[in-house]
Amino acid sequence: MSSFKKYRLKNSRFGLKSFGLIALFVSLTGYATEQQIQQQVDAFIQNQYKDHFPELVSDDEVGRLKRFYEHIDGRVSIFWTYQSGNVWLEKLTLIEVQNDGYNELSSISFNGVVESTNKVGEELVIQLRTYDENDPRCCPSKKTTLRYSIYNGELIEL
Amino acid sequence: MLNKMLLSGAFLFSVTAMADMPAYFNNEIDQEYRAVLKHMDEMMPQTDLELAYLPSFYPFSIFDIHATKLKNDKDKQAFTNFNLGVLGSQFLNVEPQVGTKLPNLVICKKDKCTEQRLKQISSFLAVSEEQILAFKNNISLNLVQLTAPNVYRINNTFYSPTQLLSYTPSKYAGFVPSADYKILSPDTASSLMELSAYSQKLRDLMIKHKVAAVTKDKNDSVNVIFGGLSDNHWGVVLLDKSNIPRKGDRNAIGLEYDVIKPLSETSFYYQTN
Repeated sequence: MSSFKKYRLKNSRFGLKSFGLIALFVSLTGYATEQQIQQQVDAFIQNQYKDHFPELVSDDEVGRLKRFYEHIDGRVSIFWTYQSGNVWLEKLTLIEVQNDGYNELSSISFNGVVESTNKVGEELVIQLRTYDENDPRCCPSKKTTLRYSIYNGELIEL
Repeated sequence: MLNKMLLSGAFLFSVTAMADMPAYFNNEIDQEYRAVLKHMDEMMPQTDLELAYLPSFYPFSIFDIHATKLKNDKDKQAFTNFNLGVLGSQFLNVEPQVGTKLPNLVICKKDKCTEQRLKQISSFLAVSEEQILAFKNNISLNLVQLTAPNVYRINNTFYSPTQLLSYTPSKYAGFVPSADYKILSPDTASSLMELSAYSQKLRDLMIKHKVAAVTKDKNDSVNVIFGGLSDNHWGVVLLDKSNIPRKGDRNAIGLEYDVIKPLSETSFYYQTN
């Protein structure tokens, strides 16, 4: 094969591959407006705030954002902490961002401390420290990894 | 990866040949499909990430291969499932039991999700009349599909910022995408870029309202597909000359209507299955 033909073949293969690279990049990054998603995640966190009743012994309930991930179908998974008094809960909530707000699809609570979260493809990978038999409330020590996927608007543990 | 693909492809074909190889998969179509698989393998970079390529399986995207020349609607529909199985096993990196559940992502049988869909359709229809009419009136436009603002498909050409991949349907099955393609530059493909410019406003609306594809059939009905995977699509059809179909009827690309909900005398929400 002449060097010119080799060059053309190589060039055409690169050209072909570049479409695939773009398709893969788009698949991994999505294209929904970042600002719109951020706004709705903020709105979700703000909506977790519930004022206490002055006459009753009750603390405010608040949500604190840890991290969120956007999925390819426009849904967003939010890792956040629910706090009220000395009670806290690590939570994962799936929302669907709409033009005029968001729709909460499903939510789960973790029994322990979420140490790290990651999104691999469309799968959520969570490193969790959960309670061993003799662990005190403060200090879960058992390390575990949880993996979730989204099916039909639900978070499904794999 | 190619070896893996050919090996599993060979296994797949040997299994289907012995078991229930579809009647439409004769030797010529078999060869055409193998050529498409080879083309996809050359084009799409390898990744081990699970479901990374899922958007490439959405309606009329690059992995959503349609057998446009098959005469029988059931064969067309069967092929979409077959294709998801073959390409999905190669590119989605999920266990088979997960892969078989993927269509659940786009199936809605409950009131709540139906309401959400109808709301999404309603907000699109409220602002898109002019652009839908422009699409309908342009005889050169039959299909607009959207992956991202700069990555989209018009008819049989896939557009990206740097190049256009224009496909010719395969001879026997009419596969699109096929192994017969031209790589073009946006600078030199003026007529294709005119179609791109013409459909820009429609694509802008599609981005905003998360529409996957808009197609037109021989009766000038416009099918606005909001989502889907394999033979499970959902969206709204805007009729021109035909009547609202019934559950069990098939649409222009051979998919069977599973849910039909009239929205007016000339439009209906649907889900195929």
